[in-house]
Amino acid sequence: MPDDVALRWEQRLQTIASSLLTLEVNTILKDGMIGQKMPEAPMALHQILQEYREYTEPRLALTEPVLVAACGRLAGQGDAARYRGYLEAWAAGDRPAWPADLAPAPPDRPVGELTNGAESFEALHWIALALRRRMLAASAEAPPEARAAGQRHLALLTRIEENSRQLRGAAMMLERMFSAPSSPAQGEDPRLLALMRDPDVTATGGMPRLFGGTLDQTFAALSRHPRPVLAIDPDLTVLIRKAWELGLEEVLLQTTLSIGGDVLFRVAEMPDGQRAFLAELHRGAVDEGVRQWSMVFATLRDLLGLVTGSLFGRAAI
Amino acid sequence: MPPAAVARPALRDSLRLAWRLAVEGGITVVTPAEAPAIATLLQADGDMVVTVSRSLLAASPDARSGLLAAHVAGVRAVLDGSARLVRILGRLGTLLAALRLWGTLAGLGLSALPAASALRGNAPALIATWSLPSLLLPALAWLLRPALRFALIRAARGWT
Repeated sequence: MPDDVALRWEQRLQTIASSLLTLEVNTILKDGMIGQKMPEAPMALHQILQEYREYTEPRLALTEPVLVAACGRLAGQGDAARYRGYLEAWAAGDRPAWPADLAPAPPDRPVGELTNGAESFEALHWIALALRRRMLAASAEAPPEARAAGQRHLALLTRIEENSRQLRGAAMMLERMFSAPSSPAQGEDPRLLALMRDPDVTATGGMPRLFGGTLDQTFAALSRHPRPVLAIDPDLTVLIRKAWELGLEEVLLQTTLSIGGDVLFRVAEMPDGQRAFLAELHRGAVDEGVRQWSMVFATLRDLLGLVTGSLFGRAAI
Repeated sequence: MPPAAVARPALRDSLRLAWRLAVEGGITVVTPAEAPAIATLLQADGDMVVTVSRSLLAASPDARSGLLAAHVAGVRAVLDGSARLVRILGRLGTLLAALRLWGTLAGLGLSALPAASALRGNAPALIATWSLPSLLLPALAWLLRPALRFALIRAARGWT
C-alpha cells in the first residue's frame, strides 16, 4: 500500500471524530423496500454509478471526449489544468476544441460500460454540473410552476455532482490500495485509463480489477479463490454506505445539527396525510441522535474527569 | 414517541455492533424484518438515514404507531449497545492515557540520568541544575496535587 494513500489509523479515526461534530438525519420515502444489505464496496460503487448514470444518461449522454478529458484531469500532472479547462468550457455549453497536442482527439460517440474507477465518477461529476447549469439557465425563463418542479431535479443533480466528487477521491484511493496502478504517465494517452484497461485480471498480479474495473472484472476479482480481503478504512466505508443508502431518493426531511448550536431543518413538499407521521418518525430519529450525541460528550467529560483525577487525586472537573 | 424498555445489551452484542459500524459503514435497523417498512441506517459518524416504505403510509394509524414503537426500540437497542462499548473503550483509553502521562513524567527524569553520568566528572554544577530537578519533577508533581487541583478549580470557576 503506498504511503501517500495509507493514512494512519489515528488520522482515519480523527476524520470520523471530526464528523461527529455535526449530526445529520435524513428521512426518505421509498417504493418497494426490500431491506437489501449493501454489497461489498467494489460492487456498491458499481451500483451507485449505475443509478447515477441511469438518471443522467437520458438527459445528457456521456461521450468519449468527456470521459477521456476526465481521465486526463486525474492522470495528467501539468496537463490537468488544460483538461479541466476543456471540461469547464464543455459544461458551460460551449463546443471547445480538443487539446490535440496532449492526446489524439477521441471520437465523439457515447461511452459504453463504465468502470467503478475514479475517472467514471469524475466524468459523472462534470455531466451533473453541465446538466445543472443547463437546467438553471432554462428555469430562469420558465413559469413558476415549472420552476418548482425543477427544484427536485436540481437537488438530485447537486447530489450526484457532490457525491461523485467525494466518491472519485475514494475510488482513487481504493484503486491504489487494491488494484494495480493504472494511471498513465504524463503525456501518455489518458484513454489507457478509461478505455483500454487491461482486461486480463491476472496479468498484473494481486487483485487488479476490484476497483477501476468493469462489472464483470470486479465480479471476477471478487470471485477468485482465495477471496480478497477488503480491509477498507472506516471513513471510506461510511462515505460509500451513505451514498449507496441515499441513492437518488428524494430527501423529505433533513435535520443538521452542529456542535456550535446551528440547527438546519429542511422540509420537502409532501401531502398533508403523510406529513404528521413522517415528521413524528423524523423527530424520533433526531431525538435518538441527540441522546446518543449527549451520551458521547458525557462520556468524554467523564473520561476527562478520570484523567484529571488520576493526576490530581480525585476528579477535579 | 413513546419510550421503550430495552434490556441492557451484552458485551458480545456491543462488540458485534461496533464491528459492523466500522467494517460495513453502518448498521441498518429494519422493522419488521420479514417485510421491511421502516429502516434506519446508523453510521459511525452519528448520521442517520431513515427510510420509509411508501406502502406504510396507507396503513392504519394504529399499525403505524405499533411499527414506529417497535422500530424506535430496535434503534435504541443498537445505540445503547454501541454506547456501552464506547464507554468501555473510553475507560481503557483513559487508563492508558493516565499511565502514559505518568510514564512521560518519569521518563523525563530518567532520560536525564545518562547525561548526568557522562558529565558527572566534569560538570557537577550541571548535574545539580538539570538532573536533580528532572528526577524530582514527578515526585514534586505528586506532592503538589492538592494545590494543583485547587488552582484548576479556581481557574475553571474564573472562566465560567
